[in-house]
Amino acid sequence: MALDDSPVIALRDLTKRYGRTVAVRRLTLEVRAGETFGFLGLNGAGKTTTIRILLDLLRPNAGRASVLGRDCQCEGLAVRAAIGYLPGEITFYHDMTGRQVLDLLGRLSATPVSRDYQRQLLDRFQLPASDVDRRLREYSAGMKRKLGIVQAFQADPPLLILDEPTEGLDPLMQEAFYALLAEVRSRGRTVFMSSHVLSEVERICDRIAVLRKGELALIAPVEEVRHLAPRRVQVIFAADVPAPGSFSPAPGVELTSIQSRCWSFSVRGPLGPLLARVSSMPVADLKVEEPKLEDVVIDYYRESAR
Amino acid sequence: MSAALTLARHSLRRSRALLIVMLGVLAVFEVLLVVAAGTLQESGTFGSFAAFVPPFMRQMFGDSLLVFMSFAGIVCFGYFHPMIVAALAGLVIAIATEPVAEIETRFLDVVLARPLPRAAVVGRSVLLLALLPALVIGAMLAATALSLHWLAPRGAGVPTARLIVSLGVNLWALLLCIGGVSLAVAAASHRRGAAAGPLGLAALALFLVDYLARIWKPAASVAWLSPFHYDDAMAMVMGRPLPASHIEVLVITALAGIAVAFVLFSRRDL
Repeated sequence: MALDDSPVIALRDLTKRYGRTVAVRRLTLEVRAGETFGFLGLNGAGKTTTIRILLDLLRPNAGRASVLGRDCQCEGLAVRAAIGYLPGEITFYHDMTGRQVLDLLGRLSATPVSRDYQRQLLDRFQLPASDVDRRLREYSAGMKRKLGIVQAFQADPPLLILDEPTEGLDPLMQEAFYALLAEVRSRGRTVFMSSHVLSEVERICDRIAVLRKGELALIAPVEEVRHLAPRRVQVIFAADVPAPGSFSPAPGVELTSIQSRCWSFSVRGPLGPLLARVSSMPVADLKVEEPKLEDVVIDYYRESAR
Repeated sequence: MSAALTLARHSLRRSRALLIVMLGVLAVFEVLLVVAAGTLQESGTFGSFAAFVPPFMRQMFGDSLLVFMSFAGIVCFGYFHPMIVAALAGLVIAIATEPVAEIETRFLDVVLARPLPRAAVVGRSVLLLALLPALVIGAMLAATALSLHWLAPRGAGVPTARLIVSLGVNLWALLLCIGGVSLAVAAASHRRGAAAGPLGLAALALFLVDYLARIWKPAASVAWLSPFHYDDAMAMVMGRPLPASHIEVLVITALAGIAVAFVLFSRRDL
């Protein structure tokens, strides 16, 4: 187990090219022990390529990737002994049963799979024995996803690498997954996950990195990123208020829409100047919407798409 | 090694139905050949066959044609019949291209996310390439031996056990050679279809090269390129012992292909 101050995942100037296309360019980041780390970016941003380098399925053209202080390429066996991996696309053979998949992958794991823990996981994701003994051709996409989650977690590894973990799960199973993440996290496990569901990332991740065309565009704690977004403030008046010609009580405060009894603002920074300015008006109510991670990340995505 | 065995068990479990059917069909075919040869022997048809062979065909194929028209020739035919060889070549190409199929379907992503070396994936295929053809040929040999024991007519010129085993060993070495080279090609491929299709066509072309060389002298200069050149079953039926040099060429080529496959697979992106 890594010490708390040493990174579980360390990427240094990692570069991967496919011919002339640069999939990942000089990527440097660290993920600390016990952290739940969100790895974000549009499709083709380089997330899956990075994950596949960590698993030594791809070889980088330059730079270094290490897990628990071991080089992913030179010491791949030791690295992979510490990883539970859920791929973005689950592609098990359709003529196998769920149990055969779990048994095969369990036998190939570094540590023996506890039958009790496996059963707990299957129960948590509502996969009874009757389902686990069915062939995968009879599984829905959601069931395959659940089986994928069980195979990634069943050996209880110190590092979980999850690519789009809740894709195809119904809301109840998403909740079950979040509860499982909270539990493994409380036991000190580190989670490195990619997701397009920003509300999910906001809810479960401690820090995020945003990749843009293979380059690191942002890396910060979720809380910090959220505060990069402006808050939306609605001021509701008890009586009709005439529309002002201009209204800018302070830098960072922007009037975004005006209705007869409701003005909407976008506010960066403290609310004080806005409150001071409207205090003389017949204010009936004030609604402050907390900033969302999505507001910031979407801006990064838009810039990527340009 | 244990990881390769685990993967081999997994592959065997997935393909067991096909394997059992193939094993059964080929064993039954060997039995039917003995029955057919016995019927021809008892009705004295072999002599009449020989009389009907036109002189130009005798000139082209030599004594081998006459040897083939005998009880032993018919029984041994099961070990070099083009359809049997094609079916077994198809089997080894399928085994050799399994790793690339697993790359294509991304099944290897979850397998190699575990602490097992890439060599285990190729090692599994090598194990199956050596064992499965041996198993099928073993079943064919057993079927031939048992049916000769129970069904051969008295006085028929039964082929010796040594001859039948030699044919089986030569066929196994030929399949190992095709499998080893196929594994090397598959290790450099991204899609199973892109590997298996050309490999099948190449096997057919090389079979035809060898066939052509037997009846047309100019083609003999390139016959050495064909692995089928090193499985001269007809000569063995005519009494030539199993040539060790042929087995050496086939096994060394197979080992070279396997070595290349290990190197390519360990270096490539999956």
